[in-house]
Amino acid sequence: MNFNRFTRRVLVLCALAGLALGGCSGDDAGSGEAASDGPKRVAVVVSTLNNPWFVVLAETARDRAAELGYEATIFDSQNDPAKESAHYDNIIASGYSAILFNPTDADGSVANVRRAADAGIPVFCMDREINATDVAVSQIISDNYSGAVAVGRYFVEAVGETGKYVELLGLVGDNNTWNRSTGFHSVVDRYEGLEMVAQQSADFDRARALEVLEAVLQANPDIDAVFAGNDAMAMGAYQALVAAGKADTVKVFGFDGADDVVRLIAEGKIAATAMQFPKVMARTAAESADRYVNGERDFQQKMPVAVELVTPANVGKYGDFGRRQE
Amino acid sequence: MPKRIVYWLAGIAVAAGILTVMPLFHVKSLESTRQQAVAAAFDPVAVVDSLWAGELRESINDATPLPELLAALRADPAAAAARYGRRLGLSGTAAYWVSGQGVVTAADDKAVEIAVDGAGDTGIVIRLGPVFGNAIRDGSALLDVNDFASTRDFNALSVEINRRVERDVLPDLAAGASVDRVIRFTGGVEIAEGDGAAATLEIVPYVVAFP
Repeated sequence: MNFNRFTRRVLVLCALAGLALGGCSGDDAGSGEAASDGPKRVAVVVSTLNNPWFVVLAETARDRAAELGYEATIFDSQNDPAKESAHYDNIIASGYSAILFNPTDADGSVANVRRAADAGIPVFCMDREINATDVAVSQIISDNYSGAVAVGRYFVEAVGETGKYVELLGLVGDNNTWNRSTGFHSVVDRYEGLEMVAQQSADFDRARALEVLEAVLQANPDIDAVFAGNDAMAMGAYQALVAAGKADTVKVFGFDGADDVVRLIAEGKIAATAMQFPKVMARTAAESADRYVNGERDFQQKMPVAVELVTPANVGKYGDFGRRQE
Repeated sequence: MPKRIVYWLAGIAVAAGILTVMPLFHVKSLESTRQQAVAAAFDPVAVVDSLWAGELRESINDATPLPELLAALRADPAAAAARYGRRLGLSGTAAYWVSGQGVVTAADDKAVEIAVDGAGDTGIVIRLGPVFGNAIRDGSALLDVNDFASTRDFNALSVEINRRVERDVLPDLAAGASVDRVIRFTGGVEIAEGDGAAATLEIVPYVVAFP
């Protein structure tokens, strides 16, 4: 076949363009191959390790993966989507077999999961969901809404049908924040006598909750209760109330089932929390990843995990981030 | 200009033309993506409109008679939950879609108590509001969390269903319930793990009638 020089150069340029395209998919395929041929490794990407609850989630996932024969590494995103994205870059380039993932942002984390999926690395979300149903293999998530409804019903029972309260929200980009808030308000807003005097985000952070509540108390010294979207914030709120001399009169309600809050419920210092089951979620995610690596493909996209109300009446049943018999 | 350079320029122009027609990637602004998401915002009222008048009505005859469910729960709670109930994910609580007929034994502005034929010692209560929980959403087994983009959407359905119960069902119940009156109902009930032989069950009604 004869080509003139012009035609050859056009073909060369087109071939280069084709190589560029093919090169992209070649890299992706390479990661998938590395995942299947290399040592079996699982990445545990967690939103933050600055909260004992997430430490339990991450370490349980890591330990269960190790029991199943994987080399497991924890990556701390420090509640920073940019750090989370950098972790995904490393994980994809390193050819991990699976990712056990606790996202920083329901919308912002979707792109990371999609990149991993495109690279042939299955992702299993833990505790927090992402706003997409076609990228993660499965999402094992707390039934936050129902848990918050239970907290709301107990809140009305404990505080009464009249009073003033403060709500501390978690990260505003996290679906859990709004599922908890919506569930709580679906109950409490039905009682006109219950007035929310402040609703502010404290980013699921204990120190931030302390600061926020101290500021709120300046303007609203006569509150009756605080609903915190997680137990770290409940602890921060409780600290602020102790410092203000109001811990005995203001009821604090949390969410998570962290050990320090469960202990304070038993001591009568915090009113209630909602027990999530981080160990159940982490183990389920690790076991699902193992089944996926071994060929299973039939997974439910959403796997809600029940949340249980913990009050002084039943606190004896709970501890160590779950039911005592677990 | 040397011919070689002309050929290279021409080649680049042709390649650029190909890439223009078939670009390697498309750039979309985050704002336009966000707007698309907003445009596709979930409408729980529309979903429940359709469900309420359609599939729920059609499923009335599929409801488990309460005496049958209670007998099964007393015999083997786990087997009864597996056969008649619906659990959401790894939940200990199961929801059921039930029907029953009985006699009103007490009624005030908070609740109606019913002695259901064949229910034995188990009392049945229908609270006159507010309605909370997922008894109808999950008990009817007509909605699957995996069909919704987020759990927020799925939870919004319970809020709307409960609102519909308060608006369309409970007023008739409140107006018609009086002691010794016969009542028939179909609705959802949630039963926590280990509560198989509960002394009282709280029904969230989809329909009530006084035959």
